[in-house]
Amino acid sequence: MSMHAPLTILEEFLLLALDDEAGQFYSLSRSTLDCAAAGAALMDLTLRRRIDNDLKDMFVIDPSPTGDAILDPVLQVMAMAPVLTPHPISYWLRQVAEEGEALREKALRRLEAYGILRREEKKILWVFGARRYPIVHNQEIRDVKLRILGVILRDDIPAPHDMMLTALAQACGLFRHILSGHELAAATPRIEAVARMDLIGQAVAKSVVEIEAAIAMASGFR
Amino acid sequence: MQTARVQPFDMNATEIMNVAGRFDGGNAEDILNDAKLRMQMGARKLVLDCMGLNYLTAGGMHAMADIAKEVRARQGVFAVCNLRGQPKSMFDACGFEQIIPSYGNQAEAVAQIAA
Repeated sequence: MSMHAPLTILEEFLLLALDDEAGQFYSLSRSTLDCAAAGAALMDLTLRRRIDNDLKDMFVIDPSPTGDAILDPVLQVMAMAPVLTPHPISYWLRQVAEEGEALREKALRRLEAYGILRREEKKILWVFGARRYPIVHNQEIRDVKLRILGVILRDDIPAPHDMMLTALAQACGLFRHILSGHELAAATPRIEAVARMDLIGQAVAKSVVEIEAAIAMASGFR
Repeated sequence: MQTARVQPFDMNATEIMNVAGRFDGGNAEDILNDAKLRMQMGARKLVLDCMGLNYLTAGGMHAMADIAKEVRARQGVFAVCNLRGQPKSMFDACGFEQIIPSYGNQAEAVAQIAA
């Protein structure tokens, strides 16, 4: 396995969302994954001090490239928006989520290049069916899970990166896969407190609730 | 020749950091580095006085969290005071009182963290 750059929030979110035994993502709708990927990209850009947000709006503060091939196209789109027309976080989530699948694909390819996972296309009757991502080197996935467990099971002050990742995991319901029912019940107040600490995380959570409600309603009509 | 007398840093004294105007992603690193420098010089009780602060963003909040984390790693105490208006709304919306105590004025903050 090659030495690699520190993993971004997007990459760590994908590792958390992966059932490392089955090599497949936990059951999340495509729209939810797109929204989470968009949120992760916005979080990564915030941590790199390229964008910022207040209670009303999200805006570019430094349009210079980060050097990250996944984040820079997102930043470029945001930097082209008219300065005098600010937009809330929810607007940018929707805009960036339109490229959600591409963001996830690029991040997965990067994880593959790092030697952390590999891609398997399982053919069913000569047609590509399920895609799996077996873990090749599990140190990173263990590290991110241990770190996030440390955040939610202790009362240390979380680093901003971990606040954001916790918020994403919570918004997508990933903790029910990481913790037992009893552990989750005990940790929920702490998880909710940490998840609340970032406004992008709050916006992702709100969007995911709306997405899941829309899906449930559409299912009910069938 | 007179030799300089170096005053030892009083680690029991509360260090007051005043932040005014904006605290956002643009100046967050400078403010964080200022706090780190004070801690490197021995400060263990730090109060961020926000009397003059009129605008706070997520970037500023992240720097506050980093300062709080750094202080705690040195077994110190960190608090903010005089939050009002938009900065207070931002602080409250993110529930930051869970990790950083906030007081109404500097005297109260200094008294509480000295206790």
